[in-house]
Amino acid sequence: MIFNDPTINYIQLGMDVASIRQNVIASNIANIDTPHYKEKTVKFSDFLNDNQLPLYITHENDINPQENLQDRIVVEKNDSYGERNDKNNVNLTSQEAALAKNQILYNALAAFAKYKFGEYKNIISSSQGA
Amino acid sequence: MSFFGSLAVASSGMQAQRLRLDIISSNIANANTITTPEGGPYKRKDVVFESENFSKYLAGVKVADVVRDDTPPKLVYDPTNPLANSKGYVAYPNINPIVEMVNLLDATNSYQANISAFNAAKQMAQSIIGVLNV
Repeated sequence: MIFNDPTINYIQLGMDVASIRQNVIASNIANIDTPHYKEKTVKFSDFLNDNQLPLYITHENDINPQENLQDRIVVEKNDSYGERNDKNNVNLTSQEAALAKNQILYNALAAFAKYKFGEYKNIISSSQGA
Repeated sequence: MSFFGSLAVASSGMQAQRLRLDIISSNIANANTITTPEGGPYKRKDVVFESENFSKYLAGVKVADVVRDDTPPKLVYDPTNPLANSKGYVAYPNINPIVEMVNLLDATNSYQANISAFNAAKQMAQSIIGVLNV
């Protein structure tokens, strides 16, 4: 049961996205003073709205959220000019906010994973007592 | 997915900002240096940052070069100075302390932003380790 529970896969997918987003935000912050650097964002939640990631239609065994994950995640470059002379358009305030938001998402997913595993542990231990 | 890449990027940012801080403090320290081993007044230095791709999603930063600012020196009229030229002017470094202070604040801010990115990655890595302690 635990091995084909799609919830674990979804949690993993979410965590993968969050960790890639963490990498991209860290890159934006590191390059805050690099001339000509353009801010990048990870688009993923949009896929759920566009039905490009049909998490809900198939049988649980048919879904493999790991499949082509790298292709599904789009890193978009914001090519706007920005207000700076060095053609860098990284907005530190929005990056800090995105960093905090992403961190909370990741922690929530980790807590959920912990809860899921705790559930299975309860089931296993209660069956041992019977 | 591991967070080590994110930590590496944040520390590359910190390293670059620290070098920038070093250069800015040399500029401030030498704001009134009128003789140097190369001859002439001290010349302002500046760092050139360059983005460096670590992997698909990771772009670190490095200091590509430290360049010398060759704008002409400030001439101050001081005929009693032994280094004054025939017209009584002494060449002082082309350093504006206000510009240096602004750059200093900018470098400090960016350094702290990198620290917060570093701490976020560290905390996320620790939270996933917590899953093991069910």
